[in-house]
Amino acid sequence: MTDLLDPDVVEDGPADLADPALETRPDRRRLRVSVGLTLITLGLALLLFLAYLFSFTGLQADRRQRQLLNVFTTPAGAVPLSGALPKSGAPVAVLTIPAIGLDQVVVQGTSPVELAGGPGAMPQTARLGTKGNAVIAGRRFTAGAPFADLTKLRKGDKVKVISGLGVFKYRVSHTAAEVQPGQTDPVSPARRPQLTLLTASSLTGGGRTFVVAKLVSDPAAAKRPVHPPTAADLGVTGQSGAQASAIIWGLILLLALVGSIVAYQRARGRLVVVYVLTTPIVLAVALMFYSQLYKLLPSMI
Amino acid sequence: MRESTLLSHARGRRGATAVVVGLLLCLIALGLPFASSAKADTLTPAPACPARWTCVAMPNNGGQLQVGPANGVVPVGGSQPWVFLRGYGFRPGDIIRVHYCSLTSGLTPSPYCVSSGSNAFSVDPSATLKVMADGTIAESTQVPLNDPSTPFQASVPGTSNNSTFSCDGSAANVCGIVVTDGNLANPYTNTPTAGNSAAVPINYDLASASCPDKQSLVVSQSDFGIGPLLPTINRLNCQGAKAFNFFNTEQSGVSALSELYNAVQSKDPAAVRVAFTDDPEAPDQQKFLPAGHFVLIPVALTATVVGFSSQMFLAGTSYPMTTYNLSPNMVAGIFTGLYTGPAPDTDPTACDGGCPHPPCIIKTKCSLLQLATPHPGFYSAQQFGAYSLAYQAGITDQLTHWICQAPLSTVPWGSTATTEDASAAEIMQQGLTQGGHPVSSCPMTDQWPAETVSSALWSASVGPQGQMKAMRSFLPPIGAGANSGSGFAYMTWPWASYLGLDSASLLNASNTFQAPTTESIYAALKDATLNPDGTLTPNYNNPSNTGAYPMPNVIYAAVSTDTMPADRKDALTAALSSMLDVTGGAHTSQLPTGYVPLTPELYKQATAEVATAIGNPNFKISSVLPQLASTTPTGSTPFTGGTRTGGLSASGGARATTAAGGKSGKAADGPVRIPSSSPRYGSFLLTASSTRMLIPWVAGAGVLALLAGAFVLLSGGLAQGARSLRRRLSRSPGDAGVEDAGS
Repeated sequence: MTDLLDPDVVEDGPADLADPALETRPDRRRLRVSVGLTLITLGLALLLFLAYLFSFTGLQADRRQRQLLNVFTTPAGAVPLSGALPKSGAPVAVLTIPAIGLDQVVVQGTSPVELAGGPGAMPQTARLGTKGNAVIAGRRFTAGAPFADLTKLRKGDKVKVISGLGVFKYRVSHTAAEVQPGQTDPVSPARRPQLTLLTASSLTGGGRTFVVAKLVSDPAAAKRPVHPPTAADLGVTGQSGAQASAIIWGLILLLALVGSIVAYQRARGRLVVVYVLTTPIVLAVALMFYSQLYKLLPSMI
Repeated sequence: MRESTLLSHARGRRGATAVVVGLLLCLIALGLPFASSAKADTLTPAPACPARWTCVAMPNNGGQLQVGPANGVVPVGGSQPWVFLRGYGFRPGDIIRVHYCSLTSGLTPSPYCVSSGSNAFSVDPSATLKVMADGTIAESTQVPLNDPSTPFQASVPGTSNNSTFSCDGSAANVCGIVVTDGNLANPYTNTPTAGNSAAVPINYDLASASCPDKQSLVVSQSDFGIGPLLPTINRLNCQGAKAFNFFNTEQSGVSALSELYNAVQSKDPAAVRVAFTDDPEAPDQQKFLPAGHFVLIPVALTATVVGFSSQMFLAGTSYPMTTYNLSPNMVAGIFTGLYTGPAPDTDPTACDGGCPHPPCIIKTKCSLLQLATPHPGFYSAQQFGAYSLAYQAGITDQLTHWICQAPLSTVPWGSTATTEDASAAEIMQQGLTQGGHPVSSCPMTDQWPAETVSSALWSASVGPQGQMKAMRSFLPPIGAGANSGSGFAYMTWPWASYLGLDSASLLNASNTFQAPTTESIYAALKDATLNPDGTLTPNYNNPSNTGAYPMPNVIYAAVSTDTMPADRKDALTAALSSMLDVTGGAHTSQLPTGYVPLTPELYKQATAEVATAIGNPNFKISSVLPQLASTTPTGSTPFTGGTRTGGLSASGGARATTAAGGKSGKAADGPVRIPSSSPRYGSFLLTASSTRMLIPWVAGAGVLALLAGAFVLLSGGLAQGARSLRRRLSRSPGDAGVEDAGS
């Protein structure tokens, strides 16, 4: 099949065919073009991941928030509203901070998957509204960035938490600060009932910023945690085990990209058909790859 | 011919009429005595009016309404009280409405009643009941107080007159229960009037909420069992010359003892001075009771009960069940989720004579759970809900000990009895395993093993109020039709009573169902084991104690015997003395429902300990319990509960030595420092994942790929251009000129 786009074929004409050294040029050029296009597509795909992070995850979080909110108004709401500790990923409370316009359903757990749906109540910290230090971690840059404006909170700002244990009112007592090396960890237990809001300090997740609010209404009673949070609960790591699936989906994406490019090259007359067949596949694989990469990120980013 | 025919017809009609009249007269003559005797025999007579209840006659239907406790109702913490309602001698089949109303003007004009839900109510504030065939009604209903600034939305039932009212316990805002028999009016009406309704005002005792400022505060931490008692103690204290007030923070016994221990160490005058627990022998509590430094004073006596709100139904209407008989097997099955309804496989038994109670799905196989509680002619509730506790609690410990230690039961029902196919321990294991919590043995623990179960029907709750709310939200309204349920929650008896829950009769080791009463609790304590620290452990396995309620519950005050300031010692002594005055002394009539007076032995022990042990480092339990002198080692290891398990004894003994830092004999020198209950973690700042660099990496890789791709493409073009240039340069200039001219 003649490569109509190959400049050598057009420009050099049949004279070049007599040169054995030039017999492989079309293949090399085709390969070069393929590699070049693949690299460019891959680069675009990787950059597209950033768009996924900062816009698509927000849409996903919005949808998840609506689903979580519905749980409170359906028979399943009997679970979070019964006072029982919901299972991981289930809604546990509604967090409202009027000063920054925050109104989010809080889920149980702080893994990357859980925080993708909204702020999460950190396991092995005090239950929300009870004596002790209750910690809510949230994302600062992705998934709608619910905790993006945490640094704008001022002392005395109101924070309200509605959980299965009741309605609890807090006042900000310690404005946003970054955890410093050697400092007592803000997720440490406390004697008094307080709420610590925790998020990432930077896009690289290397630091954490926290805000503390004191409970000003009556605390509820609940069993206190007996173990410190595990490293996975602290919100500073990605999801362990997601690496393998990320690599696999990355390879699948690469194959899909290469395959698509080859298909485009070989089916010039049927570009629309190739587009219709390959684009959904590439997008779906890319989404899967992005979602796995997203899980690798520290959960508070 | 025609005349004779007419005559015969007339005679025939007269004869037929005579026959009909005669038959009617016979029926009336025969039926009247039966009818009158039936009414007299089948209507359940009203029992004597209980203390602190209000009993009033129902106008025009001959019935009596009993509501209680209606006098001296003391709100507990932030929880709103409930009252029980019983009716006797009502007209069977009548429809009864129960409302919570403003009674400032009585029933004339018709009162305003709460018309819609409110945060103060856990369930619908009104109820519709149908009088049973024996003329009884039964219900429990909430009687909340509210803030006048946020009054209840109200209406006159059966009308469109709307208004608001509030109930703050004052004489100006009297509220109460209004029961209306709508069938007494024709046509039927929901509107309460003096002719069809009875009203029972609720008299609150709010004195405990306004103690004088001069009082000494005795800060306490407690298990939930003491909660309903403290307001009464505080009220009496406030009325006396010495004003002491217990400030209670409800939490688990483990937390309570932990905080007491740390407070004792801190020597802070404002710190916790007393902790209440009903489970001091549990290993996780023993570690906060170092040998020789605390005394456990029995201060209240009650029971661990299975509170329930249950329904049965017939002909499209549900009716309340006010009694329930449960074996340990049944309790284990219900609380582990193994028994989810009245199916024949819930505690099955063979019943060759046919299932005596519907539904009879399999005629040869019946549910003992249905048979054990008589409800002849009615269908059992369709679905069970069970609500356990989410925190460490003495009642969980007691419940699991009872379940795991109970012998195989023979359940009496009707005129016979059936031995269960499995022990309670086996059912416990089976239920937990099937519920996703596999266990290799029956767990005896103060932490309900299935606390993580999050099904709507099998959830663990925080505190009795949480249990009650979950249960009430699960249950359909009474009288709402065939949709019916039964909810169960184990808690202390006072909380069950306060929250309007009936308490089940439990099968003891002698195969006798016993409800919690003063007599059955006393009987249970008779064969309890006296531990070396003066506490009692019930015997769950004595087949000869027929009168024993299986789970008596003694609540202890843990107090430091270390030297303490005189004013603190005096305050604590006075406060506990006044508490004992109510729980075992002169004021036992003031005990809230669900507590029984301390036995004379416990009262004697408690008063002696209060007098001699508080702040006395030389106190020996043998000084008040001589029978323990031989079992109590000299020195300071009294808290080795050797009667429960060997493990506990060993752990207690080990603590006496290792708690002093591994040096024997040091335990007597002072409280042993234990890890703070508020540890501080180190900083996790630098433990962030390496994947945190993923975003820069991806961005960089993307840009690099773009550049590389562009370079590869362009490099091809550049190389081609270079080759073309080289070829052209290598050709002759003439050719090039021709070519150029041609081009």
